Amino acid sequence: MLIELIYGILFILALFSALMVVLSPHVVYAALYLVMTMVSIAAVFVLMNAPLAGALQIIVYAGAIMVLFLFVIMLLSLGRHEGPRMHNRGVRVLGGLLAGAFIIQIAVLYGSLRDDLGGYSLTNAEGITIEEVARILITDYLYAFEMTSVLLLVAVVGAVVLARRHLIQGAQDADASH
Amino acid sequence: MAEQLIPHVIESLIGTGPLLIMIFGAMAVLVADVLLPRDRRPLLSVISLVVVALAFWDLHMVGSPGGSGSESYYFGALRANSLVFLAQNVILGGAFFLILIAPRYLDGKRIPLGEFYALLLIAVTAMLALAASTELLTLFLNIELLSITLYVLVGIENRNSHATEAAFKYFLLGSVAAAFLLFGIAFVFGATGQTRYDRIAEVIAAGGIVQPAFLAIGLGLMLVGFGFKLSLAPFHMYAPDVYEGAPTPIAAAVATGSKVAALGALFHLIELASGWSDAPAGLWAALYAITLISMIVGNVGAIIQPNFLRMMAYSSISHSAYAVVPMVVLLRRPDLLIDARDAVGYYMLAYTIMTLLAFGVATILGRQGEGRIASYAGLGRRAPLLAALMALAMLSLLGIPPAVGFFGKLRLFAVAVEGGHYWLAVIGVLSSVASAYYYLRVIVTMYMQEPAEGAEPAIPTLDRVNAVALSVCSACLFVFAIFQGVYLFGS
Amino acid sequence: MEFMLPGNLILAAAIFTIGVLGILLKRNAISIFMCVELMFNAANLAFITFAQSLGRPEGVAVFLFVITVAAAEAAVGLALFIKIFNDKDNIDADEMDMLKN
Repeated sequence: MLIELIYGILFILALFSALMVVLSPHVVYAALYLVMTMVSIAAVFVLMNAPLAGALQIIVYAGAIMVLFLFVIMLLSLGRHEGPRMHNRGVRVLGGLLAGAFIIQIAVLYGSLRDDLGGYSLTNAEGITIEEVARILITDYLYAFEMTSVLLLVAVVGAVVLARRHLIQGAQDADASH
Repeated sequence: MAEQLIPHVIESLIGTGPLLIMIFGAMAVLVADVLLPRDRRPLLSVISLVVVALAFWDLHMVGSPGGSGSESYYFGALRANSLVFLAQNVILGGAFFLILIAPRYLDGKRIPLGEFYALLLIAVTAMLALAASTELLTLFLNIELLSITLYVLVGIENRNSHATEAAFKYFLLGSVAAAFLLFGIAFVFGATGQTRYDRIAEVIAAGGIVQPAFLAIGLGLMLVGFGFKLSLAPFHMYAPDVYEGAPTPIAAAVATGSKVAALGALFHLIELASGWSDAPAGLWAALYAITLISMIVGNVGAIIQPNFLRMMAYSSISHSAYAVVPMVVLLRRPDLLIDARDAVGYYMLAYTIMTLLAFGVATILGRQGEGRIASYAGLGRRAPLLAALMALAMLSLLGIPPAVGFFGKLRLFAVAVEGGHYWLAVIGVLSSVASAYYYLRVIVTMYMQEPAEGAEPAIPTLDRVNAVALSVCSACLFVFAIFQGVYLFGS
Repeated sequence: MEFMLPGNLILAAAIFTIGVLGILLKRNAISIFMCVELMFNAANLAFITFAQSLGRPEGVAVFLFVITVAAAEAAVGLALFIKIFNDKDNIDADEMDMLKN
């Protein structure tokens, strides 16, 4: 019963903060609501017997990536007048259609899973151990593991190439104004 | 476990040797960029050429598992078969051509050379791997590696707000498409419990799908992600901006290599989906609709575009749609696998040759080539060779018989007819006829119109390397057509 | 425990939808990119739920790679924002029409 209660709270919290990411008029608030969504999802992971995923979600996602976001928001001093605006009839219709399609999808999901879980079961899975995940990383996903290093190289080179000239210029401008 | 593990890894490393060569080559370029004195930087393009040539040599040393055989590497992550082999040849050949053509263009644009060549080599690596991907995570990772590299390459030019803006649009739409792809992958995984295509196929064949609805939703969402990479119609919005804003050689890579790779990956996925005999008809209908809409949007867009590169962007949308035609058929007729595979493979080759020729001429024309079609006026008189090559490319894209474009389209639509999709073939042919308007307009402008008085831009002289590269490319236009003609009508 | 399976999938679909709607409604580039992160999170939730309920570790491993990819993408994307911001002094998606004819 307790688990149901906690899950219910997390469910509502995640949904509410995800909505607020879209609705809040201030970019910094939106970023903080995004952190809240991520932390609620991490808590759901822990509740599901997946502590590894939960920990990584908080450390890497809510920690590292969101700090990057906040850093850029601060650096560019963004923040005012950023609320959603229904600026275009076409977009409004498209958005409505999409929301409708997804609500139908959710209803189908719920209908198909409420009575019959098919082959899914959360109770008899003992939780996936770190050992199993580690083994997969260097067997089945060896290629992906190797390619990730190339991806990170590209991210480093790319970020430097894109932002370098401008950061140097900005620093020089600041020096000149002193 | 370990006894089987290590031999397989070694076998995989050797089998995917071209990828290794390209990655180490990219790192060598980065190091050389630091070590070389500033005035020796042009050597970087030579290093890149050597790297691509080595990869090409290694690809042929490894060879293709002949006929309809296939080999799998890295525990089913990558596959080698005749289609993948062809796609990888096309990608490496295209990369070689672009690196030959690019240096003069780059000189005029203040682009950091070391990073440019290193990232280009990594992008080509990602294309090679993407065309071979037969595992969901590998697919996602390769698409992301390719996309992220291309975002940087599109926006690499300094102080050009067009390029930055194009990169920015590419980035935002690309991330959205990646999210759709990922959500789709999650549902395919959830429906089957597997991420390797061969294992998913086993699950499907054994009737072990946990939730068929999830598999359908997942494949549908994955189509959205592919639609973006192939710039198919509802997801094409970025293409004209990227083609116009990016450095022209990079636009050519986005138009050819990246599409060839995505076509290869999509073909593996469609091959997998065609084995699912009780798939809902919605999946097939969605692909059918995307193909039709792309043909219409591509043609209408190209007809009203006054800018050459934006026109090429719209024309590439309809060409992607033609290449998807055999896959639409394959979903309904799994028995036509070999025909569809050969048709798609040949079209990749044909499309790449003619598009690279057009982009090659535009690259050499530089600022003039990026402008309005009207700025090509009088080219037939002032630069006869360039104009003739451009005219060849346009005629081939249109599908005039002795060139590759004709045989490419012939084979695609032949598969559609064979599979009973007559409407698709008819609409495809009509769409090709409509495309005559905008391809011929370029030729008419070049040969029959004169630029306004005093507005004649200087024509860059062709150096020997560029002339040879362009001539070889245009020769390919006919060589492969003759092979195809002999193959089709000789036997 | 079993109630979490439909619950999580519905939550994932709902967060994904909110992300898509946000992309259509928002105009600021950083906000749009935050909505993309929302969609990635929805996919992660689906992955972990399926991995746990099928007892297959692949889902958790995919999650690790998705986080890495998201970080790399954020680094490049935010560098691009800095570049464009310096060029134009704001990053409003609707004001980007220099390329249209």
